[in-house]
Amino acid sequence: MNKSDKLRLAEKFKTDKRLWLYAIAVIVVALLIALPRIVSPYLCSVVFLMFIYIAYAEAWNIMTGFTGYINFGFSVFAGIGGYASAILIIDHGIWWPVGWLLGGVFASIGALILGSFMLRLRGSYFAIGMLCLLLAAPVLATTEYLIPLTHGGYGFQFVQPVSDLTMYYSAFFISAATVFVAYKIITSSFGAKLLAIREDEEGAGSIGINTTKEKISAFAISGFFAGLAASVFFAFQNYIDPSSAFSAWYNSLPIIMVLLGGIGTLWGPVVGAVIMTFVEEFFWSVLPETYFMACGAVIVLLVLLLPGGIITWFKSRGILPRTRAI
Amino acid sequence: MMISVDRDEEGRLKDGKNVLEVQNVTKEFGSLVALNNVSIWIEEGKITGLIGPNGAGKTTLFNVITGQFRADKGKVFFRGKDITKLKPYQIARRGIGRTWQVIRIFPNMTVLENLMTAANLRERNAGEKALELLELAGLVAEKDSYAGELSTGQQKFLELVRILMFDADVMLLDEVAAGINPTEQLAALELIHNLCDQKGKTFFIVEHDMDVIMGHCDKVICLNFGEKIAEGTPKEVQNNEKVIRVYFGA
Ligand SMILES: Nc1ncnc2c1ncn2[C@@H]1O[C@H](COP(=O)(O)OP(=O)(O)OP(=O)(O)O)[C@@H](O)[C@H]1O
Ligand SMILES: [Mg+2]
Repeated sequence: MNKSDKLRLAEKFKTDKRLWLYAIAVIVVALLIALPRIVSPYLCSVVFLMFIYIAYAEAWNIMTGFTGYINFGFSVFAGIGGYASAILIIDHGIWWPVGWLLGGVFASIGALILGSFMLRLRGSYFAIGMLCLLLAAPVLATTEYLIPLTHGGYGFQFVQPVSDLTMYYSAFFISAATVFVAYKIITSSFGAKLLAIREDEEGAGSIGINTTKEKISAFAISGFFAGLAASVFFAFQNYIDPSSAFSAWYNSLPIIMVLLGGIGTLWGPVVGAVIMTFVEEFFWSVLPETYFMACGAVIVLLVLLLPGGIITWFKSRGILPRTRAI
Repeated sequence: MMISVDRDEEGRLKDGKNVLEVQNVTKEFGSLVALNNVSIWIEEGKITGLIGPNGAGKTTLFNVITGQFRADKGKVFFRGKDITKLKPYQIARRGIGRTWQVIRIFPNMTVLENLMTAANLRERNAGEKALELLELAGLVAEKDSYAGELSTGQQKFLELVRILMFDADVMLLDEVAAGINPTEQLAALELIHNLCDQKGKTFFIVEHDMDVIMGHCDKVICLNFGEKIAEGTPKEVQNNEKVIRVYFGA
């Protein structure tokens, strides 16, 4: 076999692999669409949660995975989104899809405003600053100025606006949209600028990158999807109050998922979210008392065994191609 | 030096015709005076060399021009406009690009991505432009390699063409020829000359290799302990008493 034959074969193999991937993708999507007709409502609610987690994890990744700025205050934006949509839908009778969308918009505006201050802080100062904001948020939500909006510690006990089935498909759509937007970002020159900030912020400035502006943009996009997914999540939970909106657990989950799946990669957050959904569900049903601890132990183990995350591990072994699209 | 109508008594082009002008810049680090009342001017389309022993203030001068450091005293003008207080990214966007003494590419990004970082977001054909620049740098075959995996010479070429990605027309190069093999050195110098002659780019280069300075610069400036001690054609500077004393300790 001469060289050009070999090359052609390699090309063919590549296209074959591609076709396989597309085939698998189509099957997975079809399966997820058909799922509510196939499996129990309980399993459907777990998959619903999985969609939310995917959106959460990918949203967190858009900020922290791409720019390297560790956001320890993810729940701030989930909380803003959840509250904004609840207030709009329940107290103001806004049509639910619009309410959810506005939940994302408000969270995004929140990220824009907070980011304008916080993103002037570098490295660990930003991380600590965001953590402080997270701790301040529930207190703020119950101040007398905000009680007319947030209903204080009581929050909203609202009736879910639509059927479980609609919730399921909405969450599916939102998770897909989040991953798609992350894909568009990371394969664009905007994404390259974000990665440059992660690599060397001063160097990035010297080649004309307005690092503050790009960071704030990434933060606002991340905040939008956090708020959007949270709107649907809290609607499904059927209530929102300060402690659930700004919960430490839902603040940590996306971080854990991304670290597990592969930080800064496109599919790492998805893989991490899928795994953690089932790990969480399993421990929750088997070990209701020690479930946080058990989750913690699993995480420590996985991170020790797979530093950089699953996708990164596969990429470094050459099992997965080192492309940004994966 | 001939004094023509549009030059002042120091030989400087009048009326802001110098693409870059540094006026009486002083930069101190605590008690150390890294730049002491330094004034220089750079003519468009020329290659100007900057020499001086270690610690003379060459890199500091670059850092002041590109906004990494704020001058304590004095001003920097680019095309007649005061850029002293601008941020580094704003100065880059005006058209001043720089490379670093210690290479500063993004090692965990591909070669092509490294160029895309510097692309103008509004530019439509950024991808094509990047490929053209890679051709210029002889890096097309490496476009999908991680920049950290390239040889030192290739990294220097990458860093150099990356500043062309945002159409810088004044290029400040801090020791381009250092640490690379003679073949790559020649190629780098050829690239610099081509950019200068064909595209009208202006170069301001720090260089330790005297052969490079003498053979390739239109004008040379010498710094010592933060002070400008000489400037002129390579010949003039080479024969300058102060320069000889600094370099040969005579
Ligand atoms: N950020 C800084 N903080 C404190 N001192 C500095 C800083 N940068 C440079 N200096 C000092 O300023 C002086 C000039 O340094 P500079 O790096 O400009 O020299 P240079 O001419 O580029 O030397 P070299 O040929 O070694 O690169 C040196 O004494 C250096 O120690
Ligand atoms: Mg130096």
